[in-house]
Amino acid sequence: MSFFRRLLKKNVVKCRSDLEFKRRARAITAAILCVLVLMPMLRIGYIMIAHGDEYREEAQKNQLYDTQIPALRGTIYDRNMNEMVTGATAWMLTASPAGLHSFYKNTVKKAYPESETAWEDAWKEYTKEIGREIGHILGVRIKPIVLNLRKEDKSYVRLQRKIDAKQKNDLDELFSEKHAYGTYVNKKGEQKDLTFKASSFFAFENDTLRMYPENNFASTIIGVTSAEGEGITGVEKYYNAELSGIAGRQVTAKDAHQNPIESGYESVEEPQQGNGLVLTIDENIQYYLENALQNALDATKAKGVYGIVMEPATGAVLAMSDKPDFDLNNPRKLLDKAAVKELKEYKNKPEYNAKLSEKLFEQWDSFCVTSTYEPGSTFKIFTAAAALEEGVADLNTTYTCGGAYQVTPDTLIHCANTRGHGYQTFTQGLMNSCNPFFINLGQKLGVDNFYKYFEAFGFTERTGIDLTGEAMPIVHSHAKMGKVELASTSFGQSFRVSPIQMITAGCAIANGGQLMTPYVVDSIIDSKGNLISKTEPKVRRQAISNGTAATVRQMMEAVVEGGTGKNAYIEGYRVAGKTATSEKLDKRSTGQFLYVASFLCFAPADNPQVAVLVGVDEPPGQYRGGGVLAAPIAKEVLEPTLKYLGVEPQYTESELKSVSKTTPSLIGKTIVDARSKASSQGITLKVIGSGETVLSQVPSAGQSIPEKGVIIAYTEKNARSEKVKVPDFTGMTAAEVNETAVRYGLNVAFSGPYQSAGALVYKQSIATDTEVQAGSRLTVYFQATANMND
Amino acid sequence: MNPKRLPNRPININTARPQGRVKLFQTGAVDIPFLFLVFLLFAVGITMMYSASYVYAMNKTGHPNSYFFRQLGAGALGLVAMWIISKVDYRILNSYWTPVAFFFTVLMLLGTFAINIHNEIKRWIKIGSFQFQPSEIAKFVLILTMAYLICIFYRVMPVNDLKRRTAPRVANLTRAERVFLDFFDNNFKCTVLLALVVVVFCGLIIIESHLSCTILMFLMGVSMMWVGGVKKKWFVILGIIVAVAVIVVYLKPDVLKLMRGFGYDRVMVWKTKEASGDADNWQTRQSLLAIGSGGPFGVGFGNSKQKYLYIPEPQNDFIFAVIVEELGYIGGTLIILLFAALVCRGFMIATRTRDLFGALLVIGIVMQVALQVILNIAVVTDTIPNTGIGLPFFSYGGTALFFMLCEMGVVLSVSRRIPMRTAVNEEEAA
Repeated sequence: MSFFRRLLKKNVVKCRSDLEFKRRARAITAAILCVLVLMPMLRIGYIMIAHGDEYREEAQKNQLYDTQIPALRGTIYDRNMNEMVTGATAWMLTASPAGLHSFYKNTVKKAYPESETAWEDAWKEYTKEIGREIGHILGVRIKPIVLNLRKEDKSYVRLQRKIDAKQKNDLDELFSEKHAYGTYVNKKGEQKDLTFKASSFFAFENDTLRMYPENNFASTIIGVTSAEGEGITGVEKYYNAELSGIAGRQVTAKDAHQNPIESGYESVEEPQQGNGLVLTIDENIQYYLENALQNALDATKAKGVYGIVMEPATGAVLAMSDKPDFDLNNPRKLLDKAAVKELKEYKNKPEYNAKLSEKLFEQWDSFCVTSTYEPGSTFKIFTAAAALEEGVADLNTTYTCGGAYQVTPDTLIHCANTRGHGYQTFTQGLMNSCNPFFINLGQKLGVDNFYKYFEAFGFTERTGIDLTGEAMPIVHSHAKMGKVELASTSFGQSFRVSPIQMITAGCAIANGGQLMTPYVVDSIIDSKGNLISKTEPKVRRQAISNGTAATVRQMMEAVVEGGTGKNAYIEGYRVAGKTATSEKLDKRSTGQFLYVASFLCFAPADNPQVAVLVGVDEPPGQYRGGGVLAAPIAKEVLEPTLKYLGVEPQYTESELKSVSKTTPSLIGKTIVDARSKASSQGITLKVIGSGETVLSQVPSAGQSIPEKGVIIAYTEKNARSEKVKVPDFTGMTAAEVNETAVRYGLNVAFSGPYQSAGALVYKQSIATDTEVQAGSRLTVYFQATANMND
Repeated sequence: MNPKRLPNRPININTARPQGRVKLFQTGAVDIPFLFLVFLLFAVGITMMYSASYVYAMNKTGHPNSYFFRQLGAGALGLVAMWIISKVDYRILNSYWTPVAFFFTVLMLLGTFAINIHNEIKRWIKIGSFQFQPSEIAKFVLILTMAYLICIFYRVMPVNDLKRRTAPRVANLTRAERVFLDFFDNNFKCTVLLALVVVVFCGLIIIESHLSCTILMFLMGVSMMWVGGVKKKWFVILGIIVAVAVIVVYLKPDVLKLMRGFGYDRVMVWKTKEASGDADNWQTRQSLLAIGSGGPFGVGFGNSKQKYLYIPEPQNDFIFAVIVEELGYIGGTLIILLFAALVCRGFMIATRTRDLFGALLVIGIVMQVALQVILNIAVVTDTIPNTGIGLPFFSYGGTALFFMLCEMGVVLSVSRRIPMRTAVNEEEAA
């Protein structure tokens, strides 16, 4: 400062040169100082203001190592809170091949002083060895692991995902073993091994694992998740956002060589488990359905069978399945042999992967939702409902079927019964599934009226079920529907809808006319079980009046009682149903007669609790209709379901007669007394042994046996219980069964329409030639096959 | 401080050599503010070097402190040397010692070039495990030589009309020097000689492929010529030439290819921001990321993440980036202001001393510090192409720190000769 003060005081410097020196020194110092101070301040300020955020982000991107901690996916429960799918913690095995390689290159090398490349061989040997052991523990192929471990320039590779706790323990043990790679001599002159632990080069990261306790069970509803844990199909996909949860993060800093920077930089955000889903599916009903469908598939060798059980009042899907399905624990294994064969042709071709995923999706997709079929005669109930609602027909309407219907001068549509059903009432028309009858109704309604109900029942739109990939119905548009199209649509041909659509529309008849939105998820709960949201049943519209619906149900009941649906008859329950056999018109070109046999029913008819739709897709062999193929399956589902749901059976008088009896106690009675007591109840008594009094009996007292039952009475002590081999009842009539049963000393219960003419046994509950105790109880199932054309 | 310095007094700068023999040691008091600034810069510098080198040292040698201790050792030696040098009367250099030092340095630079002729890097001399750059000495010898010549020429240089009439006032010249001065009897001749000295040094260093040092020497030489009184028109001409050269190189870096591609790659990397396979742009980029990460207050001392091997050798040329990252804009600016204070105080010492030779030495030395800081920060902030110049007191390098402290010793030595405001002096002044 003194320098400037001096200037102010205008002190004279005597020598010009001195002045010049100072002036110049001052100038250069000032200039340099300006640059020295201003350049960095402005330049750094500019960098920070203009690029600060960008640079900071880029630096952090380089520095921070962000590991995701995967969130546990939500649990999926059935409606009774049984776990169908659970998420479990798992681990992922990672390795540092570069670290291992450089360890060998730098450290192990010294153990092989004699050769330059010996360490490389040792390295290869070790990767092979450790790869083999890892492969054995994980049960996977060894070669890919070894190849991964030899990627010497990679400092991070993922070796295996979804490792469970046991495998992890085994691996931990393996990695903590000391591996000797050479020897050295210590100070005391002892020879010691040089060792290292594999744990320096391997690490575990968090991963999640989806576990399915019951393999195939409800597989098409639940759906598949990808390797990354995202839902691909089913509710897993539709509710992916709910199920996913929020992944946690573990942020660590690393240096430029990818090594973690020591503590103090780590931050952990705990993951949040995804929400759970409570399905409307009931495990028991689902089990009945899957069991029945699987048996039917095995028996018919059809291309596929599918079934849906729905609660008519709400639209909740109680069970839904289509066989063949797949194992959720191993979803990527193609089960369809034809698909596997087809895929083989694509091996080593670039399209292979696309083709594989196409086939896998075919396997995973739920036929009930993603596919369409021609509904056929089951659709007649909607034509009937429309006709009743519009007043163009009532229960007294009659029509005489001549075997065909002339729609236009060019178009003649035949009835399934080409000789014609003759004179029929409305109900008889439905019972016979007479095509001309319904064509006639359709023509009477006219296109506009018909289409009004066609739309009202939702056949022109998706149902809106909470599953992905729902198929859009393929129907004639209103504008393009002419007389001919109307005629074929009236009896359910020439358009395609999905099974879920068909049963939803069917439920509208069952519940008094309300078309519901079907749904499979009842509620969403968080991981602690608190309710987050609940699905309220949604009425889409009132399709028909309650009265009309009741009338249609009444007619459908007649179908089961005496029409094409009699194979679905259940004692004590009023079942309303309609059969269908629909030709696959689009596959006519193949030269084969391919068809879908289906059956739509609900029970009890007056107040339906359950609706069932069963379809058999492309059954091979002799032509059999929906009444023969599908109705028995529906019955097999419906009967236990009704009992499970606690619907009380209400027997008619004729049914009451055949209802089983309770066995009386005969023990201690003399043979004569016992015989008279049994015969008074219509029970046959078979005496075994030569004793005077009955010492034991099979079945014991208080058991229920069929009306014309048998009791085996043993009169000797230590008598060996009588064994019988179960005979083959298949193909017998009811009378023949009774006779045989008494002869063998078996109690046989009947199921199915055994009273109708021509009903024969098609199935029995205990297989032929099984050895059972005399007096045992079994059930035989009757099936009517005559007059079943629909 | 008891003996106060004489302020505010018009004084003639004494260009004359001291009468009689100069004593080796002197007793005057050193300039305390300057000494304080040197200590402060040294302490802050070595602390930041410790932080910046910690990770690199850990990685390189396995001991995080190894670079710090080496630097500390060199620094301690340097401080001792600084104190001893400050005790020595610098005026003994204003004699035949300077030409001797000049020729010795020229030989040493040539020798370095000859030793390393086949090496990639030609600027180091290795003696056992100890290695140093002769250019560190050359910087000081350039200042010394220029100061020596300017003192001889002083009366000739600034004002033509004084010419030989005032020449005798340059007292105590040796016979050789008088003969010398007889020949260099006008401003132009003197200017040419001074320019020649600069050219010789720059030429010797550029053949060692030490571009940054060449630029530094050139700027130092030009500054000394300016202070020494070379006519302003030469600076105007030189300024125009340099400006044209810079513009041409900036617009058409291909011209550098004509000169054996010298610096071409670096200019291209700087201009296009694309690394042509070498690490230059990576280094600059990481440096910018560090600066950008700093923000106004920095991430805190020791918390830099860019030093985790992202910035290659963060303790060297790019230490300032780590400083800004850790201490922020404020911290970086404070350090710049410390350097500025050092330059200011140096300037004060230069203008207060009565001895022109000392004044020129001090001006030269503080100029060197300032230019080095400017060039270093310009590189770190990507203002100019990467040249490779260290930050004084901060960058790792034992010899650089040692010589820098020795130069500080010279400044302190000059400061010891500033007359005290003692009773005797007061009387004299009156």
